[in-house]
Amino acid sequence: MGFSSQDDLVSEVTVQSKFNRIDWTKQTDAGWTATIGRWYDMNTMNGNPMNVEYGNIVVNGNFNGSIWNWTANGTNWVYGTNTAVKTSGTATTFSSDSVYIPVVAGRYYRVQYTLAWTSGTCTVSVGGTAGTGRGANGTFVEVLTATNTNGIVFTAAASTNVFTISAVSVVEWGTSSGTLTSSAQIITNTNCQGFPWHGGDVSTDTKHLLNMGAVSAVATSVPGVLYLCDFLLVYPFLDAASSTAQTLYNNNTLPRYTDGKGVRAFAIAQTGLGANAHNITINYTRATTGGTDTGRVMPVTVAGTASAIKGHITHAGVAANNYGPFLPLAAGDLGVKSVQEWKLSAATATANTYHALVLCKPLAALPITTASVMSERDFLNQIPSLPKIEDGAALGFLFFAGAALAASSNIYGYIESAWG
Amino acid sequence: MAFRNVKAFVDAQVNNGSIVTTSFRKTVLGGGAGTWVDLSQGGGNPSANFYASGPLEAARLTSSKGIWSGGDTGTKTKHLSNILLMSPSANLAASTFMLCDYLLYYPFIDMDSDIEQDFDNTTASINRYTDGVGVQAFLVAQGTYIGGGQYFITYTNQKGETGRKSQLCISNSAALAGSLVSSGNNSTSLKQFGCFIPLQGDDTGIRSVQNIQFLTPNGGIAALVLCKPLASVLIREVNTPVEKSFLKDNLSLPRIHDGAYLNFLVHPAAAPTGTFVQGIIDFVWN
Repeated sequence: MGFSSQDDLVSEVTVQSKFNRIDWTKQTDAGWTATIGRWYDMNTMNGNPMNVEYGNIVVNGNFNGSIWNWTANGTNWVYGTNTAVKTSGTATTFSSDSVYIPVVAGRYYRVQYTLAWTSGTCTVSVGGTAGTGRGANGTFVEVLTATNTNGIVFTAAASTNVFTISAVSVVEWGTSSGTLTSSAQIITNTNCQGFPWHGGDVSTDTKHLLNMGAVSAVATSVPGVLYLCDFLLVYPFLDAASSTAQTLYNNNTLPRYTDGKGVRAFAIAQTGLGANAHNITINYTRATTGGTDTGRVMPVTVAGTASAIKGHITHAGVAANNYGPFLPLAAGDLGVKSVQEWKLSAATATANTYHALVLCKPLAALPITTASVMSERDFLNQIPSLPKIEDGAALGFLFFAGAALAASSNIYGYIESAWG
Repeated sequence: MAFRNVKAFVDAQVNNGSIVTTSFRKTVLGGGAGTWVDLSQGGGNPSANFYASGPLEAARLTSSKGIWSGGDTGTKTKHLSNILLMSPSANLAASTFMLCDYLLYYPFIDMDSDIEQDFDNTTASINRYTDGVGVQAFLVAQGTYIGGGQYFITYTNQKGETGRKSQLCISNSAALAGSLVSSGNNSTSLKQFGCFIPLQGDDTGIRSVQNIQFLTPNGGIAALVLCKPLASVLIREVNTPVEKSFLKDNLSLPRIHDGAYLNFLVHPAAAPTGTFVQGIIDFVWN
């Protein structure tokens, strides 16, 4: 549909109220400082909306301020400090009330959680399949094959057991075992923590970006550029401590821009990375051409960043062979439909560190020009384009740092859209 | 192909994915206020270009070593869509940035020698803008120098006429690598010019250069570079991104040829040594 005229747009907004405004705030982490010339994924930052945990189907797996969305079968599963504490009582099980993406029987799930242990054993299950009983301190990773559609359940061997769990994540995985077989996870604004609601699905109308703005009172926020994208698909938990080729599975495919045209790929440090220098290679399927689209590789050497901090687009920066914000595609390729393989030339040297490879559709850019002055962009009059926002779009920003954006810095903004 | 209308231009970006967005950040070397500087020699991303090849032998730069523009597009034509620039350096406020396609260079010219230095054009030739129309030349220092030397080049013009001699140029005393040797703002010299070496008569371009001769020693080494200027953008304020949409602000979409090595020449308002510039460029093809 769209808008047949400026009058039609005004009518849809003012008469039909087909309008939505998102007000957002993002805050850089404590101990986090941007490096000039690098790109960062602001989705990983805290704020409103919450930080994104790419691919994680667990709702409130970090027990942020409470144990909401979790139910025990008795007493004495209680909230700690961003933890769930099992003390001696009547309960044994602790179950998730809901998940972002329903568990599918027959599929594989990578489960990770941290256990502070005192007594007994703790066993996690996903989709009706139990993992290994744990009776020690540590962060545990296991791959489980779902046999039904049940959610996530932690079970104490006895009601008197005492331990604490935290940092729970569950992502779909490619195979029944192993740590190098990430699988594509669909991202929408409702199936993943951290993406804003933008007025719901409007088909058969079409939704368009009208205005956006951003401001920060922090001097080191300028100059900078925000790049609004629709985030589509992610391959999480790519092991940064391995130089082995990692096969990526594609049970799930692009939910929007399904032919891949205009879809770009970037890799972030999902956790802080190790100190070894490394290059990145991927093998991808390009946007549909009608010919052979598989087996595409990047045309140049692409260097990742050693010791990249969380959220850094590791191949974007000021070093030789850095490319940003997106991974360079083979000449003439119009986009990325899926990725089949990921490989580092060298392990980054720290265990339990990960990349996430993200596919997105860039929508619009917004420079931040002056501290404490709102930068605004009008897509009707200033840059007449009205970029389309697809149903289910997961909107977020990449940030191009022109100064050393400091820890605990706030950036505020808004996104206005209309449909008709 | 190119774009028949604005709709085709928008479709290419929005619906077809025929767009490359690339960012860069470079250190600006050399120069003084009013002296043009070659940004390609600065460190950062993309990597510094040192014009390192056989002395006086024509050579080409590799496209992927310059500002990344997405590789060759074959029968489709690629165009410059947007440039965004920003700098935290006050000395780069009110500076001009000229995006160029670097076509050919002749390195390691001895600026102390008053003997005619012949170039070897058997090793490479320009493979874009091959008729030479619009192709310009600049002499850029590859190391420190003293200045004051006078030189001219002998070249083949856009009509294929050989033996053409440039205007006599006099070197500035910026003395630092990356400086364009005969650019400057010396009001007492009639022989300092803008970034490019003035050509003979009404010549509008260069196909190749046969030699360079210094009449007086200058000190240092330099590379003579042939390039095609594509677009210019001004940074007006420190810490403030500046944007230029070539469709909206310029009513033209400069073409980027397959194999182009892209980088900037910079005309700083104040001494730029050690300053930084970064930006984002969009290229669109159809």
